[in-house]
Amino acid sequence: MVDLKPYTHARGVSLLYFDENYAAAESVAALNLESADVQRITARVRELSAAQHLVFPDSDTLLERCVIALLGGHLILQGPPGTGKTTLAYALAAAFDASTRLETATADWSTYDVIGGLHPTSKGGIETLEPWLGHVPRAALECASVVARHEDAEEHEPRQAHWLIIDEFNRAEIDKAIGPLYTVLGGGAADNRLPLWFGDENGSGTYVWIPRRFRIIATMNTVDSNYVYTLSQGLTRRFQFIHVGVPDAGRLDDELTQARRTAADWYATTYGDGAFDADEFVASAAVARATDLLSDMLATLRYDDEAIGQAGWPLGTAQLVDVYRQVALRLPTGERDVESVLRAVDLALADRVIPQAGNLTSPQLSAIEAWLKTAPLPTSTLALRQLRSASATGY
Amino acid sequence: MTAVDQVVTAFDTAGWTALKQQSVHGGRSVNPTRVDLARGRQFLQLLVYAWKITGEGKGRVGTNYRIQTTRSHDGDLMSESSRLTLGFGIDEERGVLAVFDGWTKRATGGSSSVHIKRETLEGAVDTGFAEQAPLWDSRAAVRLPSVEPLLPWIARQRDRRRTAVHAKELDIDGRGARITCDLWDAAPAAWLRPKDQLMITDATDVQFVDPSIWEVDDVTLTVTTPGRNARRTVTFDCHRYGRVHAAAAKPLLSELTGRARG
Repeated sequence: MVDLKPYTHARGVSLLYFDENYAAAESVAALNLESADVQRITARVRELSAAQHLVFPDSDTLLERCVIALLGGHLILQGPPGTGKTTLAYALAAAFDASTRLETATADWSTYDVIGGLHPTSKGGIETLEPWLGHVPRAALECASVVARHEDAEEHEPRQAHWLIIDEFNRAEIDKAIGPLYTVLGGGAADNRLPLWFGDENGSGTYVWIPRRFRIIATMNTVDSNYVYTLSQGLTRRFQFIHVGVPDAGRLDDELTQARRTAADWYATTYGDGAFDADEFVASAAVARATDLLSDMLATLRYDDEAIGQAGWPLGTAQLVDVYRQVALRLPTGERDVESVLRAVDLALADRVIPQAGNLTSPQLSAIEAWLKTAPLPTSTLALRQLRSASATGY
Repeated sequence: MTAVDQVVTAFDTAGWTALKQQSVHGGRSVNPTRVDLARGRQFLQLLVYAWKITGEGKGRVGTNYRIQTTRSHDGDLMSESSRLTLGFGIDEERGVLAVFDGWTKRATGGSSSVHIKRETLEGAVDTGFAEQAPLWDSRAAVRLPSVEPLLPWIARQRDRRRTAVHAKELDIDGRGARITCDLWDAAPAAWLRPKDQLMITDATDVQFVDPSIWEVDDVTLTVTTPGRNARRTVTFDCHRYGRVHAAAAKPLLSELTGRARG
């Protein structure tokens, strides 16, 4: 086969894809993100987040901090589960006109997953070892390809970059898995190459260029302590950390409205056959009664009680959406009276929310128990009792 | 013993075990046959056509030989996604096994011939292995009983192919293109499969018509003039893979058209 490498090396050929010639990505590696217009990009993220019914605490500041972080490098969004970190990561990438690839980290991640290695393959019956790129170099090469096509007028590529979103980053033994990336994640260097120990015979696999437009947005769940690996000082210097918490107490009404809307839209899109009226669900008086109950639950349990020094239970908006979804599933049409809606909420809390209280401290669980006594939620009360019993006895 | 049996036996002699030998159409029809071969941790999945090599027909030069590709089905030579289609020719007189790429020769008509030069067959007798140009229509021959020298040639058929062709029609739309080639006028076009790459030259191969390197997404073969020697076009739906700049155009064109090799 005619080899294009000598031609790309001599700048006689420009590639738009770098699957067989990693080194050629150098031609676009030095291009920076096109705009640092913080206001415009932040406004775009705000717009995209609103379209996803996301509600964040101190939203304007949070989004602006994320935009600033990404203009400078890589970002880790950390916070309790269900607060919209992953959806925010997508919205941020979209606001920067970057396509994305999502990978979910696991405790098994090693350098083979993240950087790559050799894997055995049969080529025409002849056994051989071929280079296999891990998540980061693969995404970086895709980024280089998007940049190259974006720069080529005839390609009409509207995106300027391609980014990697790593979900549940805390589940990986991060220092072990991405240690070799530390130098290139520093960013900004003129020679931003990721060395690969596994080259092919042509030398095409000896390094991968990390484009300056490439970003990693990772999400970390700060509650799920079973899976939290500690981060080294070296790593924390390579990422900007931004906390995405639960919405402020003053925005509960707005948050619950958005959660109802998200759940209703989900049901209408997924199972609605025309009989389900999403607007009616959102405005339903019976659902409003359930909303009052959930609002009281959040106001009572979610936020830290500084007077007694007790941490709150940081339930995310996603958990509320889950509750509303279950209500929609149980009562899609017909008579939706207060009693039946409360019964549906009780079951949803018992099945979807109470099980997530497993990591809470005993005083926090007692606070939930105390609140449940004030509410008509017998199944949730039983579920909590069973959870506490299981924690105490181990079965 | 059928010609396919003889091919499988040749691999068996080289230490390969046939895990599967299944005629696609069943019965006594062997062309084609799915053949899975294993040797240690090596594995080959082939769609095998096999025939005897015969002398050239009347009116031909007497120095060439041919494989008459009579088959048990209508239409083009078959291909399956996970298998490499290979056509074998057995030259019993010399004890030589010849081979060609079934994809490239898929559109040779219902009962036409693949020609093998005498020097290729005799080269295999002399040195154990010989290959016949051009690269885009490669035929190879190996001296039996050892098929071992054939394995790199077989492995190479999996590589991405890159060549230059004359286009009968060229429709570029932004990042994509639809390129139609007449196989009588642009023979290398038959060589190309999805994921292979091509560039478009003018009719005399003097310059590129378009500086783009196109990667093939889809291939469609069309009979434009039916008959015993049907005329066909092949249409490639492509996306742009790269661009060639002026300074590199001449040497690359020369390489792609094979002139650089003399």
